[in-house]
Amino acid sequence: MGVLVLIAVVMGLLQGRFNPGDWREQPTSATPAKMDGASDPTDGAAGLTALSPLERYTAATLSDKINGKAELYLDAGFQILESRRFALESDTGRWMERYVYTMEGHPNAYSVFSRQRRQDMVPLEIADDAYIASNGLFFVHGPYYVEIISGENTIDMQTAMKALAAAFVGGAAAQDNPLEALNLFPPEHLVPHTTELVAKSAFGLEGLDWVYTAAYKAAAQQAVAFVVPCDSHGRAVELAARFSDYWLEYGGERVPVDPTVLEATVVSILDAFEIAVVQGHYLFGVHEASQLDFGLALAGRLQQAIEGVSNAPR
Amino acid sequence: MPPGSPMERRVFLRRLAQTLFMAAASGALGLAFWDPRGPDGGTKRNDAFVMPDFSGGGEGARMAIARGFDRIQGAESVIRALGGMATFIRPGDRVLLKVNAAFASPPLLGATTHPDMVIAVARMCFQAGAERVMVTDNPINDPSSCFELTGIGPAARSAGAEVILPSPDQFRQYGLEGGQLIQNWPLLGVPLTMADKLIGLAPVKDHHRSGASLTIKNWYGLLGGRRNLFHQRIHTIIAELAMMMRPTLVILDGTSSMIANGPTGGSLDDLRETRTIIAGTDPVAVDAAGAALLGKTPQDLPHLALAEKAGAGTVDYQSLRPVKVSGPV
Repeated sequence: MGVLVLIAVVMGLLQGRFNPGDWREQPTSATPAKMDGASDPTDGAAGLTALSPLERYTAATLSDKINGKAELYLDAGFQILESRRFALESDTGRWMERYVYTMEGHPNAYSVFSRQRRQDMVPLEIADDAYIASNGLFFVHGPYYVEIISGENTIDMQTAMKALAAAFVGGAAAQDNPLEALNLFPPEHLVPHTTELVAKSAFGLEGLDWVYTAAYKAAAQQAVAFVVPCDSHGRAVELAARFSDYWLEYGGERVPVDPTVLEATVVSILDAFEIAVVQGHYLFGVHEASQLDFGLALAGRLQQAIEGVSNAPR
Repeated sequence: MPPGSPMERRVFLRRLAQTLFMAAASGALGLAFWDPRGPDGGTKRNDAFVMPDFSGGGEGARMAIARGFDRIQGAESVIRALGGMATFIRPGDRVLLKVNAAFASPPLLGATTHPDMVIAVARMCFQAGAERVMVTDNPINDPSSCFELTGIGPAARSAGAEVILPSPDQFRQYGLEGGQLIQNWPLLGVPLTMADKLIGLAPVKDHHRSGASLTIKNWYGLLGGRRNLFHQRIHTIIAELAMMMRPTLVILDGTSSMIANGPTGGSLDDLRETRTIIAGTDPVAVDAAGAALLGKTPQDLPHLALAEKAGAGTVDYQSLRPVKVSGPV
């Protein structure tokens, strides 16, 4: 009885003063106000010195750092962000910031990497998925998605960024488990560096999550191929039906297809074609095919690649 | 007492009394918290913040678009096209510049208001006779670093303006009349009370949630508290910001625009030279025109229609007959 009364009093006091609007994570408390003493924060990268303390952000505070972009990470299995600024030892006015996003796993890290790929990228060899784009360096290493952003676009800063990236890869034990689903995309007409892993609501369809996509182009024809490894054949069938219904709800019309060519459901909408096929545990197909023949041929090549694959990696 | 044995009368009465006491106490606690009027959003409180109207009122909305200039020339040209800064700033005015200093990122990334824009506008205000020019924003993450690393702080000081960093004593509880989200919410209110005129300076940016971050979204930086909660209803909150603020002037800097990976960007490849600066007294109209710099239409940004419906401005910016000036580039 006494305990219950005590709980009631405490609850009353807390609720009486509660105001969600008053909450504010203080930057000083969110950031450990000390340099890492146990290890070299530059991971041994030559010529660099830490310019700021390590800052840590959780799911609750991520938007304090990156504002409206936080949802991209939260949807994809974000765990923690650690950021820190570094400067050239020779000139501390020239600096860069390293963002290390720890995600739930390698596919999660690949997802956020692939959704933000820059057009004028130059691939790097420090990791399977790594590139530099003028003043920014971006890569995936195991569950880590890393960005190194420089305050200037110069050769010597790019050199320093690469050194910092290489030091991180060398210092952080992690495995880049290959994402098998990416190998299913046929190479013919594939637009380089366009594969993506969409963590949530691909093509705007709620529930269509963890979808691998890749862009294809041949002369004036273009399309986006997609693959969804599912938990079961039944789930793949269910998603395929929802995929077609989704386009029909927005005014699409079914297009009959010769089942001896491909057992697919096809919807025509806004001068493009949406194609869905189920093979074992996989839903796959083509999104926004500019020509039906081009889309069906691409779906057919995807089916050939998927045949024989029994277990579905996510 | 073994199961099945009769309860003594004294024990029964004691337990009955305890039960009745707990029931009465629970009821009394609930009654104490019950507010028959419902939430008033803080607007009826004597200490509630009253948002000043900086618009000047009366005159119809005005707008100008400058294309083909560099940033400083563009800012000067677009203000000249509106009749000059003296049209908006009177001698002795205290002017508050609301910048976007949300991130501690260098100016070349275009994620924040460019320091050259701060310098150009602050100088024009002083030339028009402003007594004081202040610059503020509420970046959640380390405000001091944000103002310094973006270059906004040094730029403001070089132009003779003061930087007002957010501190807890500068926030006031605020409730927007007719608002769903901005109710009893902490707002960076004190700098607003220190000013006679308010000018918003925003970069043009893609935004992962809202589609675009332009002059109206720039007011988001006045909110305190756990404002990331509003990301779940991003278009509603932006429309409410349009309802909340009546600025003297807004200037949208599309000298370069962040066309992808906003609002943070990170690479120069996220930017495109669009060489356009838009200024006006109707932020809805300015943002409607600015959408094109991102390859979007006003229909792609649902908050603009919501803001127009709430009476905050017009999406049909052409109806304002914007003055257009072209530069040499």
